[in-house]
Amino acid sequence: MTFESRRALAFVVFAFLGAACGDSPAPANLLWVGSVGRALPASTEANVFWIDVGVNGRPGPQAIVDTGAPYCLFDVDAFDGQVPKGSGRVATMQLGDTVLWKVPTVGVHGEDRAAPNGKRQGGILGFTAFGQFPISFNYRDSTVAVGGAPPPAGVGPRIAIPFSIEGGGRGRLPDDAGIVPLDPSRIIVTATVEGVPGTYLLDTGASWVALRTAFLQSLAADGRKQVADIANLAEGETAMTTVTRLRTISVEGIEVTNAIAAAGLRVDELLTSLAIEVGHPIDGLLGAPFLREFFVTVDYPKRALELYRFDTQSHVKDAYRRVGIDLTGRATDRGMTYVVRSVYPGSDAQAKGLKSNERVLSIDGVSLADADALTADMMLLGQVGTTRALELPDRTVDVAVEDLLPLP
Amino acid sequence: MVEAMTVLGLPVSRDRRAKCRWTCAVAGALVLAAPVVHAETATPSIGGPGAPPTEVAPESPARGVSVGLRVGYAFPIGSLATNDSLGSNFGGMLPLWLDAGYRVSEQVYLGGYFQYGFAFVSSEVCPTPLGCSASDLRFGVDAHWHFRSLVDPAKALGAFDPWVGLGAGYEIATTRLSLAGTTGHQTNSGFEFGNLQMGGDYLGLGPVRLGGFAALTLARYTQQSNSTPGGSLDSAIREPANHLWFMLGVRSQYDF
Repeated sequence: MTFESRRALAFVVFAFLGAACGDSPAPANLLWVGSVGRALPASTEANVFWIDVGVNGRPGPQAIVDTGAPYCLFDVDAFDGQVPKGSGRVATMQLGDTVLWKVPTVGVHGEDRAAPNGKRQGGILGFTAFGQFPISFNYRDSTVAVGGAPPPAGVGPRIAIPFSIEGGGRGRLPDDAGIVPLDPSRIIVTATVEGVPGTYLLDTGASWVALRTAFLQSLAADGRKQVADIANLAEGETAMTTVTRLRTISVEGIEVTNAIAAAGLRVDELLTSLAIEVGHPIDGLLGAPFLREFFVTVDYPKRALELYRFDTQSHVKDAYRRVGIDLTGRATDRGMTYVVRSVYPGSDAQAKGLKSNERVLSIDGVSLADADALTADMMLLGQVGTTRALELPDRTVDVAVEDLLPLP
Repeated sequence: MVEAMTVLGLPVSRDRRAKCRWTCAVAGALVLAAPVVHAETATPSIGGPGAPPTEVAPESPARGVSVGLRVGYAFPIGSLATNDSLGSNFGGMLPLWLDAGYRVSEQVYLGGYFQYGFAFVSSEVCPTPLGCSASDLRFGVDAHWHFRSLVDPAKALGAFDPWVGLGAGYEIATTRLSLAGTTGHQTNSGFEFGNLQMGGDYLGLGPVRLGGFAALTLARYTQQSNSTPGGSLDSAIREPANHLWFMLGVRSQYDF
């Protein structure tokens, strides 16, 4: 199992195959017991929320809470056989104090990738699990509340934005596991990117704002920096993307600056598939770079997005203001071992001679042996202009923290 | 003739007999080893012409009201909904089935039924730490056709009255969950398109019939209601499917 710092996840499950045949699918309606509204501790690697998912009375792995997924897509191996392969269900699914009964699932054999807790990742928690509740995402304190939660201290006034839930129909499951009916689950909002309004899918499973390639390239015509990066998509796919920085993105006049956006061929295909599903153009995914400045409640029953802006944004870590390397880790008997996975061209790290596969022992004197992938990656981030001391087996190098995506 | 009968081994006087008809009927249903009943008058009808007179209870009038009780065991078949087998939800059921109706003739009975079933929730849908229980209500109308009169009495059917029945109605199955002091329940309901019944009654107990029965019900749940700690929500089952209950049991009927 490898442990990599992930900045780019886009777990939008798009298995759309055809429109519903004139029927009006029932809303998400699961029987549940226990209580709702408790803030569940979550990991927020790659700016998406990972929470523990128990199945059939047993503790389970971490899975991503993804408003972009119409169903729960789980790795059957991560759940020790408790999740059936293909279209099926689990008797119970425990999310904190909430126990959901007879939850539809789709089981696949996923890649052996680690979740932020170091164990095999469980997959994606989608609409069929939480679509009947309000669900709150606290990007500052890294918690998720199924059933919704009141805003925490240190936030501004409530901003309510109505949304529509669209899409649905019939979907083809991964691994040729058949075709299933899908509820309408896509949260559609209007957003404006650098003055250009568009239709976006609200997606807590996206690490960035996704744009169509043509639009991103039109924005980049001003000469802004772009980098190539690999994004992990749903169902084990990866995609090469071009990443850049946006000056502004706003929803209903609520503006966020310096958000990271990505585009690529696979992203274009994804957006086209979503457009077919909902029956109108989709210009992008509204992901973490916008959402993380707020305490967010997605109120499915009321069809409303509630945003409370945090008074301070110190929790917002810009993944592209960093030392210009990525790390990949491997668990050994003596702890974690990290090596350089890639070096960003033109970065100070490259100028200082760092190369792929070089082992990094410590950062600023802190050993990486006990650091998980997220922690190791966070140690490379910081304020532009500061430096990090990277200890390599044969030398220690002071490398500058840079904005890898500066705006002109 | 002996002017007394016994109930559960105790003598009962004639004037109390009318008062205890209900007690007798229920007792007869629940205690299969019914006491011997002596007839007030001998009747040749069971033995038929030429047969030696037999001491049996007087038969009930051909017309009149009947009430009955059945108990048994029911086996689940089919699906609660598409891709959700009934057997994965319920391991089985103990039905308590009440009948009430009118004997139009010696052959035809028309009535209604109401069943409360104690259903056993399958462990497949009830892992720890959940607590689960379930019940199944059925109610409707049915008709029985008794064809003892068509059987040659000389062929030793004696006091045995075979019958077949058809019915239709509505079914409501409820599964209840509990966890940490909270409860919720799911109700699935829909029409019982039909039920096929057959059985045989022993007539030698005067107004009380005792016998066995088998029944096969065919129904489809189409509506679902989930009652959770956060409220209730009703919806149509998107992909309903047919299910059956196959029942075996005993029944008692009291004919007024």
